[in-house]
Amino acid sequence: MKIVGQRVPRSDAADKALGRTRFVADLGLAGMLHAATLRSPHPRAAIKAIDIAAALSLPGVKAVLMARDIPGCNEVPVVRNDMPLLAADRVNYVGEPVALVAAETVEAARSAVAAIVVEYEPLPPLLDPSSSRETNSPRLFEDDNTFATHRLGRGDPIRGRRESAAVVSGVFETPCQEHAYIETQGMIAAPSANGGIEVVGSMQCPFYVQAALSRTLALPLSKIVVRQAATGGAFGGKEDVPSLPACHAALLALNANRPVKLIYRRDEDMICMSKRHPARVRLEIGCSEEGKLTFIEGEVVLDGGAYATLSPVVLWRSVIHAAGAYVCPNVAITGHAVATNHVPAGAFRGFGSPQSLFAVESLVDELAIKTGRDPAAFRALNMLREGGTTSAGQKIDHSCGLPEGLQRTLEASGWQEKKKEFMNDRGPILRGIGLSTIFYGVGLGAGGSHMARTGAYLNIAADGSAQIAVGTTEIGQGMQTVLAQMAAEALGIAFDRVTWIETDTSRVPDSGPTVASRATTMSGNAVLDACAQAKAVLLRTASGLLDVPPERLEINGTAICEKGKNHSGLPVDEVIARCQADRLPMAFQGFARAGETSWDAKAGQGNPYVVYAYAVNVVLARVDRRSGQVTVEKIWAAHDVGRAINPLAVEGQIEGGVLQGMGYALFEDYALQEGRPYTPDLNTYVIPAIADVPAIEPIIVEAPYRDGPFGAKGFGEQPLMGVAPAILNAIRDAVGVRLTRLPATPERLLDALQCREDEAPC
Amino acid sequence: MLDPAASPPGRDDKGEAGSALPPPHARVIAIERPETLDQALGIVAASRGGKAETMLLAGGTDIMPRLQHDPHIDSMKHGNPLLPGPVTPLILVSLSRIAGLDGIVDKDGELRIGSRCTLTRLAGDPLVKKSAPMLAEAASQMASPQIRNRGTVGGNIMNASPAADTVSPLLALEASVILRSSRGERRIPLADLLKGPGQTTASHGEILTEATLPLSPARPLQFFRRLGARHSLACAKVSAAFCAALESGHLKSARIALGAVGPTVIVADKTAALIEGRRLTGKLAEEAAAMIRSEICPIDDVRSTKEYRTIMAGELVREGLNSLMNQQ
Repeated sequence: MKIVGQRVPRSDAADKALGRTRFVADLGLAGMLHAATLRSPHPRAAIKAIDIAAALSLPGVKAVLMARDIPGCNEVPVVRNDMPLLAADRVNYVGEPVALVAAETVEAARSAVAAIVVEYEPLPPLLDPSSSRETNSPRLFEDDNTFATHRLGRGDPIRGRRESAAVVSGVFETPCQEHAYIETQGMIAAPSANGGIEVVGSMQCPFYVQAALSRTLALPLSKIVVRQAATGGAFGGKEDVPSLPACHAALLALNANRPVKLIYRRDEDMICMSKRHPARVRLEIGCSEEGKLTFIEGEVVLDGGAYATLSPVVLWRSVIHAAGAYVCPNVAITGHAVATNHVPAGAFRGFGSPQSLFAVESLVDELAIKTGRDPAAFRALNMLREGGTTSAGQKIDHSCGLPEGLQRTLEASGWQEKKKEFMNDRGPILRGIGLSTIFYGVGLGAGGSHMARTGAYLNIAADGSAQIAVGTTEIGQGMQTVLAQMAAEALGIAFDRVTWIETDTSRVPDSGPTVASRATTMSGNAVLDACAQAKAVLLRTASGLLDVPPERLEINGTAICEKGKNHSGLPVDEVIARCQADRLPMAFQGFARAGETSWDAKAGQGNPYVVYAYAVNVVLARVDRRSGQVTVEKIWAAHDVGRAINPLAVEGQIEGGVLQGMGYALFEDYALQEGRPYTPDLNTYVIPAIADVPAIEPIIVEAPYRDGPFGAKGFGEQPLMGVAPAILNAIRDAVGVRLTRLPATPERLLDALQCREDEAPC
Repeated sequence: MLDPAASPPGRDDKGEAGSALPPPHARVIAIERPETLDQALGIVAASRGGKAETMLLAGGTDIMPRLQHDPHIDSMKHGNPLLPGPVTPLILVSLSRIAGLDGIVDKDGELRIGSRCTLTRLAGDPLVKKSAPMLAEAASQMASPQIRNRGTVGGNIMNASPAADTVSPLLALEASVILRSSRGERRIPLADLLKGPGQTTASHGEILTEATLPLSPARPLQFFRRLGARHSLACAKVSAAFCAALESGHLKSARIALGAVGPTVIVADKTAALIEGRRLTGKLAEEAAAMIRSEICPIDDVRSTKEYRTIMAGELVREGLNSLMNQQ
């Protein structure tokens, strides 16, 4: 391997650091109008009348549109298609779009929005997810306000409980989390000459946007081109919701017959775009005298907000991960995603799993403590290994780096010694060490197998340089760099001669979404498929030049050589030039399909994912008992990525995920009161800043995945997933208090510390 | 830094006398950049009774975000019922070109700090570090380097945030402020300037030119502590500034000021009286902590709770006094 496995700096890094990258807000077209959105100030209300006359008469206003102006279906296609593009007769959350304006300037558009008069009749809102399924609650979705119910079932949990030597239980609550991507949502739509539409903007999933445009505008997919602009972060927040601004801008553009730009303000974006589902997880687990898990039983309730959007699939992942990365013979988890009059929750790094992993990783710690065992040793006794079977009944037949990850984090952190040392801490500030061991089902799995394919395009130019295009997107995760590394390795072309082109629906077939940590593996395989076709052409041509049969040739570095022969070979450049001179087709379409998955929804059993990635986080924290302040001093984060195509990029993902997970654990709480946001901006919604960054030691574990490109597995989400439980386990270790609610703010921790002192004065 | 939680933009604030922040529906129609104070005062005076209001602009770190507010989007936020209303035309009067407002000098037994002195300058100034180290410390802990480079001590005072970090050290050090108007100059104690969240007693047409600190009595023992939701870029949940002298083991001229525990930064006279003349001991620190908790009236808001602020005000005072024992 020459370039795969190298610490190659991201090819977009310098431009982004120097401010040279052009995001959608930096782009413009001749004659472009600017758009603004009228939104509901009510969590639930009937729309009685909308008067746009005053708005239309303002200078510079070119279009004011409502639901009735939508030429196609007034619904955003996701899973259940229940979310309207514009509210027609009813609004169901604060921030729901009701009307659109296009005007010559942003200011004129905003003034026109303020001039639209909407007559609302407020209705009693449903704000408590725990009462959503009650029969006397307002009806928001079908007849039971339930977007989806999923279960995970195995063995006989009642018997398992009976045979347990020790049992612990708890109720765990997690908040709404804001993505806080650095770039807000934005789109530019322009009518095209063929009567169709072209959209460019910030997004994760151009094919979702394309499908939504087709449905709402009643246009064939073939007349819609969606291009991804450089995208400033997403984290799931640009999975399904960019369809809204894209369709809004396109609707205005077709109506005004001019290009339209729609960029969300930060507070607007925070108020009306998707969030991580707030969750309530009740869980009970037990173990035998020998310390083997006997049963895991519980219930997950996700607050899905006003519309189903992605809730059914988020819940599915939440439930499958709710019993953790353990071998347990008896499991029963039931999950519901319910409707409320909150902003719709959607995709967010981890996709439902951080909520349920917080619960199980907290309780596994408690069970270890209760039975007098070291939490790390207890995990080692129960965790998944090669040959083990998950709670879904899936046999882990290969690629399980969890034991190695645990061993290496314990060694690197000095777990044993620190545990002992910290027991002697006295005084107001106490240190603690805690860990979590988690897994992540890579890719869409059985929940999205119909979309589990990707395309790639490879074009080798006469000068020996190459272009690659794929259907997944670069969203800051480093995909463009690792795909170029793979292509360079496979073709024998220098890394800096391989150029990735931003994603465009007209260049590659529908490749599904850029989610579920699937871009490296799925697009990697599609790129490798295209490269294999190209390589066959190159070797055939080289065969003629070298007079050696093609099957005895290989690409070694940037040359084509005879296998086993130690000579310099023929430079790939020259072979490419010869191919071009011979007028051979040098453009290739690659394609990849994910392996088979299965799910028996009734039994809650199957092989839900093609493979799993694994992570171990060890956290060293310092807790000030006087203030309840927690300082994370260091995190050792081991991640089994199958194969690190680019260790530098892997470390970057780990560092970013650790911080986002630390924010989830300690700071972030997107609280809604009466359906209205309490922290609607980055002044009041607190995310970690640079001064809060702890020492982070990434540990890369490589247990190769046989169907992954060069053995790689996806892992972009899991750096966040296990951080919160590891931090709360460290707090537990330091001060003996188990917090069951995120975030662990100083206010909450001090309160818990004082409650404990009241019970047992020390 | 102004704490929006303490003074939401929807309050009854039309930009009249006493507020240094724009009214809710302000739209900037012009930016003036006078070269002298008299020119600035002239612009302000000329606008009186006209269609547009004037607003003084220093670093702009509070005014500029406030001007970004969109009433329609604000109507969706909790506790922020900023309803659509008439737009107020606004003329910003930038103080950036007026010479002599950003200095720090030692004059006639006083430390005189120009109102346009940046927080960065305040944090690093040798005179401030020597005679008012807790003021330098407070400035250094505020916001972020970029905001400290722009934010000014005058802006921090005139915004009248209950959480203003430079104000608690200034109050503890018995600072006065100098206000210039077309009628001349007046000098009042800083404590008399602060009226409530976002409100001062300065009248429209007065420009803060300096904050002055008496250098006597000397109070060499000083500390400043603040608690925020994160290590930087966070308004204080509670802050405390303390200064005193020590004479043969006894505290003299003690002063304590606390931020974010009342409608303005407050001076804790009772607690100061309790420790005046006493020996600095652990027991005294306990007593002072208990006393301070009865002397403040914090609220629940987006940044913290009444209970937490009450407990932590005591902890900050106790921790501070204990740290002084180690300084001895």
